[in-house]
Amino acid sequence: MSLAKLNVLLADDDDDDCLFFKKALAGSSISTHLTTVSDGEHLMRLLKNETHELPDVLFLDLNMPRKNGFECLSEIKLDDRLKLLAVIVFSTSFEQEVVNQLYQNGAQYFLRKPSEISHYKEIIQQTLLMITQATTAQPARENFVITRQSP
Amino acid sequence: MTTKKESVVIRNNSSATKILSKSSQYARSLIEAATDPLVTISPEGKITDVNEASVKVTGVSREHLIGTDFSDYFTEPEKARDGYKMVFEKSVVSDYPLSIRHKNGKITDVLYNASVYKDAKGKVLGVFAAARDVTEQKQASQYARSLIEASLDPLVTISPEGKITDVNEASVKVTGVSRAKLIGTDFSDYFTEPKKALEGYQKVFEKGFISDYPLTVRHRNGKLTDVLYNASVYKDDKGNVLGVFAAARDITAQKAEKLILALKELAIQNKEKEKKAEELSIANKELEFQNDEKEKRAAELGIANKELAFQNDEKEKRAAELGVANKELAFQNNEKEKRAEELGIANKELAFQNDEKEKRAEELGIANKELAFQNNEKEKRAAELGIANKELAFQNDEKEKRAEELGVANKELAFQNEEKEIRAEELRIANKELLAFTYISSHDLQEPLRKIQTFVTILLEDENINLSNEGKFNFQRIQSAAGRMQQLIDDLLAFSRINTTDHKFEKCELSTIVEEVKTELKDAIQEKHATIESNDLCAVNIIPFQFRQLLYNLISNALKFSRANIPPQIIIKSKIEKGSKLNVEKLSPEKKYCHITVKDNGIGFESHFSERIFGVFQKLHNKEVYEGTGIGLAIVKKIVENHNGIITATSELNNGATFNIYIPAN
Repeated sequence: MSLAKLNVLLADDDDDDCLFFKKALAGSSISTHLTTVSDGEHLMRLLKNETHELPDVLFLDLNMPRKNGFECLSEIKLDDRLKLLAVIVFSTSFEQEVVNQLYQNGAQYFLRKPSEISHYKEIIQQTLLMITQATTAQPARENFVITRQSP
Repeated sequence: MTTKKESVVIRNNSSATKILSKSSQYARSLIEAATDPLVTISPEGKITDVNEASVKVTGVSREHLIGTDFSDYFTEPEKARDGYKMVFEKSVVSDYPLSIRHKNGKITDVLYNASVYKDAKGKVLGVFAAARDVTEQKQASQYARSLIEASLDPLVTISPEGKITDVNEASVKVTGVSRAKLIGTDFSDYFTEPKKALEGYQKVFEKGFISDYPLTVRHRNGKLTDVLYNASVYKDDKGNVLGVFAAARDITAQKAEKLILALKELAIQNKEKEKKAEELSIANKELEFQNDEKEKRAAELGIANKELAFQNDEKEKRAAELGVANKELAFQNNEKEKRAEELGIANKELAFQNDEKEKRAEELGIANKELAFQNNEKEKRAAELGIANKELAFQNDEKEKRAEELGVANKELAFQNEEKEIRAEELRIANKELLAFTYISSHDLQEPLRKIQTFVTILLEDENINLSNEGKFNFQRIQSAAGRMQQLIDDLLAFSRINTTDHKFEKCELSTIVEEVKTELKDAIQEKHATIESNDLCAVNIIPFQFRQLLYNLISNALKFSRANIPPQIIIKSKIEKGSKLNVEKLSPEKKYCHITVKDNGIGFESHFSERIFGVFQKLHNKEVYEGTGIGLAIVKKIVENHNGIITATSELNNGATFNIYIPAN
C-alpha cells in the first residue's frame, strides 16, 4: 500500500472546504491522489463510468447542489459494483438523528469538519490510516463517529 | 248368413242357448231385421254384437267385427270414443253425428242413438247403439237447392261477416247484378239503407230469425223495389251457425191493392171521423187540460223514478253489505249470549260486593264530615299561602330579569373567550415558527463561522513569522470571539432542539442518569476537587436525553459558580410526595410528585434574581469572570415544563443555591 498512492475522491461544492481538505492531505504522511467533484450528479456519473478505476475512499459532503450526500450514499449502497466503496461523510453540523440515519444507510465513518486547521490535519491523517489498515466492513456504532484524539 | 252366425253363438255357448227365452229370440230377430246398423259395446269399448246392417255399412264380417274397438270404424275414432263414453255417463245419447268408413272407403253419414243396457240387478252390461243413415237427408239438400232456384222471391244466404254466399235467379233480377258478382260482396250494399240492412241480418244472428223486416232493394239501373225480409240462421250437423238464409217478398203490387181498399175505407171512416171529431174537439180540450196536468206529473214522476232507481241500486248494495254484516252480528250475538251468562254470574258477585260497599259508604259518610271540617281549616291556610305566593311571584319576576341580564353578559363572555382561543392558537403557531427559525438559522450560521475560525488558524500557522505581535493578538481576539459565537450557536441549537424532537417518556432510575453525567463531567470534577452526593434516588417517568441535559446543566453550573478555594459540594436528593405536603402554590394538592433537589455551596445569588435566572440570555456575571451564554438555565426550565413540572431556585449571595424540581410521579 505504501508504494501506490491512495486514490481519494472528495465530493464538496464549497471551495473553502476543498482548500482546507487539500491542506490537510498535504500535511499527511500518507501519499494520496485527490480528485474533487462539486455536485452529487457529477459524483454519480464518475462512479458509474466503468472505464474509470474506483477510488480507495470517498469523502462525501451532505449539503450539495443537484443531488445531496444522502441520495448519493443510498445510490452507491444499492449498486453492486459500488457498494463496497468506503464512504466517509464529512459535515459541518452534528445532529444525532442524522448520524444514526447515515450509519443505517451504510456509511463507513462520520467526521465533523473541525474549526482549526491543525485539527483538520489530525483528523484526516487519522482517518486515512484507518482506511489503509482496516477492511471496508462497517465498524460498530460507537466507533462510527471519528473524533480527534487529544494529542 | 244369419243361420251361420246363430250356429257360431250356439257352438261357442251351447248352455246359454238352452236358457235363451223365446222373447230374447224374438228381440234378436227384430235386431237382425232392422235396416239401421245396430251394435252393442262393452264398457271397454269393444264390439260385443252387431246386426247385418252393420256388416253392410262397414264391409267387415260379423266375426271380425266382434271383439274389435267400436271406434276403429269411424272417420273420427276419438269422437266415436267420446260418444260411447258419454252414453255410459248419461245413460242415453241422441242424434250423435258420426261418419262410418266402409272397407272400400265409402263414407256413410249417420246419427247415433244409444243407451246403456243392464242386467236384472241393474248392473250396466254395455251400450246399445243404433245408427240412422243420413246420406239421403244430405241428398235432399240438393233438392232444396232446386226449390230455391225455382222461387220467384229473391233468396240469399249470408255469412256471419255479412258477405253474400249464395243467391237465386230472383236476386239477380232484382239487383241487376250477376250471381257470380253478387257472391262474396256485402249484402248491405244492395239496399237504399245499407245500415238498416246490416242491422237486419245482425238481428238474425242475435235472435235466430226475423219476420217482415222492411227494406228497399236498389237495382243497378236505379229502380227501387220495396221488400219484406224473412230470415233465419242455418246450422251444420253439430249445431254451429253457418249463416243466414233470407227470403225477400216484393210488396210493390200488394201495396197498390191495399191503397185502393184503404181509400174506400178511409172515405167512410172520414165521415164518421168528422162526427167524432166534433165530439172529440170538446173532449180534446178536456183531455188537453188533463194531458197537460199528466205531462207535468209524468215529468215529476220521471225525475222521481230516476231518483228511486238510484236509491234502489244503493239499497241493493247496502242489502248485500247488511247480509254480510248480519252473519257477523249473528256470530257476535252468540258470543254475547255466552258473555251474558258469564256476566250473570259476575252480577251476583257484584251484588254481594255492593252490599259490602254500602256498609263501607256509611262509614265513609262519617269520615267525610271530619274531612269537611279539615277542609275548612285548609282553605283558611290556602288564603294565607295565596298572599305569600304573590310575594314570591314578584321576587321571581325580579330574578328572571336578573337571569336575562346574566344571559346577555354570558354571551358577551363566550364571544370574548372564543376570540381569546383564536388568539392563543395564533400565538402557539407563531411560537412554533419562531423556534423552527431559531433552529434553522443557528444551524446555518455554523458553517461560515467555522470557516472564519479555520482561516484564522491557517494565518496564525502559515504567516506566524510575518505577523507583528499586535497582529497575532488581534487574531487571537478574533479566535476568542468566534469561539464564543460558536458556543452561543451550540446552546441555541440545544435550546430549540428541546422543542423540535419527539418527547418519548420512559421509566428511568435517576441514579443511573446522575452517574452518566458525573462520567461526562469527570475532568471538571477532578480539577475542582468537587464531591457529589446522591442517595436514595427514585425511578421517574421522564424523557431520558432531556433529563440528562437538565442534570448536566445544573451540575456543571454548580461546578462553574463555585467559591474560590472552597471545593464544590453538590447534594442531589429525590422523594415522592403528595402536592399538599410540598407547600408550593402551583401544585395540585391531590397529585403525587417527584421532588428533586440539587443543592450546592457555591457563590449563590441575590434572592430577587430567583425568577430572572431562568430567562434566555440572562447572566448575572461578566463573561470575563464566568464564561457562559445565559442559555443553560433556560434549557433546564424548558425541560421541566416539557415534563409538566415546576422548577424554583432559592439562594443567598455567597451561601450556595438550591434548585427544586417537581414533576408528576407516574
